[in-house]
Amino acid sequence: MGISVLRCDDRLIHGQCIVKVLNDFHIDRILLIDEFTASNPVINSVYKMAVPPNVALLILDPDASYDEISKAIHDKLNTLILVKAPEVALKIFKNSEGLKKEFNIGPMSNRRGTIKATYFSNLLKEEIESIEKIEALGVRVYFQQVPDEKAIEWSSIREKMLTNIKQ
Amino acid sequence: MIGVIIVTHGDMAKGMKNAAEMIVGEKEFLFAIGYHVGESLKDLENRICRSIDRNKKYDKWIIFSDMFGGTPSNVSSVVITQKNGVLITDVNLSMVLQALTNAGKSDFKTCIKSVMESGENCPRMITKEAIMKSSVNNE
Repeated sequence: MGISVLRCDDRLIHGQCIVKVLNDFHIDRILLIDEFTASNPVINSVYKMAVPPNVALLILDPDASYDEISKAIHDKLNTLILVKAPEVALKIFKNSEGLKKEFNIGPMSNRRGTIKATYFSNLLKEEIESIEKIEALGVRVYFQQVPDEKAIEWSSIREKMLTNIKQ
Repeated sequence: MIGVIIVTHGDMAKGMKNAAEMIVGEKEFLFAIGYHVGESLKDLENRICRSIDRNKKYDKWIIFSDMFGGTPSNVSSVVITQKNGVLITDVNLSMVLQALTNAGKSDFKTCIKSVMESGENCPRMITKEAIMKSSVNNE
């Protein structure tokens, strides 16, 4: 009940999410919080089609999401919050009371300027800075693609990543 | 003319192309695109669009994806809003073969219809009992 996971994944809804994350956490509802998706009717419709019929999907602009998050924290549904940038997660942690202090990072693609964090996650300098701020709020940040895979803690790769962004 | 692209997770597309061509021979209108770990949605979208744009002689496209809801499927859905074609998800070898054997000789609608029918008749479960029963009936 409440928020089962807050997950950052730049592909948002895809095979891993549908086959593993939704089932393993018995998710009833997804709050997909992303400005681009919320404002793009094609992507919006593709994701709405892709989600199984027994799972509700709400696609929200970050600024319009806090009320829904606060309702979801207290109601009876199991909710997955999906974002594609740590910056959005940082805003959510700052603006929401009663969230579990855990932040899951799943796959993040290899983009121009990214640094490899794990074999499935690549991060931009700004993303690393947001993660640092999230951790400073007392949140456990960990990398994991699917629930039964071993988690890699941000604390275990933090120094390597911070050294890399300085170079 | 009809072009066919298979888009999947990993090397399944390459493998399916290889398997299909073992049966019906090489087809220059068949393309395989694999999505690999770390690739962005935009990169995959660009690769599919490039295959379509580089092969202008095919004016209609069937895109096959491996699993509805997965990245190859989601990205292909976006592509078909920009290009002339349809996406058929949850592909299997029979469907690819149906597309390959129909693409050259029938119109687009007929080709798609035959692919969908072939997909709807899969899969079958074969049990030992069914085989034994059938072999008794044949005696």
